[in-house]
Amino acid sequence: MYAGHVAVALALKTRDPRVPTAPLVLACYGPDWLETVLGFWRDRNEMALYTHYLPGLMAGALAAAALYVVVFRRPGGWMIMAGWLLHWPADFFTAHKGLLSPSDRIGFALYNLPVADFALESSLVVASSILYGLTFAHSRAQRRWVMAMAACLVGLQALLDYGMAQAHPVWNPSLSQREWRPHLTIVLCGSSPTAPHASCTLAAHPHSERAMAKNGVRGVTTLVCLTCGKEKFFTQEVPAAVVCDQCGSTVFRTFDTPTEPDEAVIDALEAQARSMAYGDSSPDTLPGDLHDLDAS
Amino acid sequence: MDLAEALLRVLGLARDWTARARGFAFLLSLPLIIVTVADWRVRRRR
Repeated sequence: MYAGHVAVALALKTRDPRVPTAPLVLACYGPDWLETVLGFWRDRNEMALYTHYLPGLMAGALAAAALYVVVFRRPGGWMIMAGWLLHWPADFFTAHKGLLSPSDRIGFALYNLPVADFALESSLVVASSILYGLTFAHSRAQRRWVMAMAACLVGLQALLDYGMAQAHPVWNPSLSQREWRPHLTIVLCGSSPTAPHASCTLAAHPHSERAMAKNGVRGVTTLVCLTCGKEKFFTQEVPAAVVCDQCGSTVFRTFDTPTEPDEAVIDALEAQARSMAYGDSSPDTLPGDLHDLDAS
Repeated sequence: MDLAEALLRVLGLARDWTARARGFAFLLSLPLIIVTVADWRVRRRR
């Protein structure tokens, strides 16, 4: 969020007029300023881990409030802390923001929809300016300054959104803790390696089994009848109801044999493999165990 | 080369990304300046 942070600062200012405006605005942009300053030493995106993720955000808010109290020696440290902490919820609307680690990023990502972002942030600026004007601007000249401030901020936001506008914007909001999962249309275009939303798959194939089909390894499925030992083989999906041709039983034991290399299955098969030659003992069988069996 | 860049170079910080950081700092400064000036004018006239 860009101009929207000012809206937060103006709203906080109306709550406690004793807090100077400049520190309040600085606090509302605090994580961004800190990220910029730290970015002179290391990559700015890397520094975001210490400024915009929740632990760093809370530490920064505490430090900023303490610094304010020490430097200004005025009440209002809570407002500074609130302004700093509200940076995260504000950014949640416009980008993907981290929770605890880089893999946990959530947000509505309205920067990818510049028109919606402009509507949101300019509305916030106008609303907070009205609130500020009603609280502090009593004369016409004062109201004119408030209106000029709001116009400048909205203009700045418009410039920023115009600069961020893309030819083919892809809106990718994410409310899960992991990476964003694309819509089906993006997957079909081949522009995303990850699986689509389940809801998108269901929407595209409402009356088929594809929605629940496995995307995993293909192979041969063997059904062994528990009654007579008759085997049935399936290379496609196994039907829901299978009847043994020989005895009419419906109870089978299922074995999957992959026809494509799959490391997990190969590893499992190797781990479970046993010698079938006559006289070979099981690898886990001790001589004493065989003696016990012979005795019984 | 301006004074800020010369100072950054002396400190060993002058690289390509300093230009981006300066741009970002400029972007962050604009709302601060606008609000501070407007607030100063409003409160001075109270």
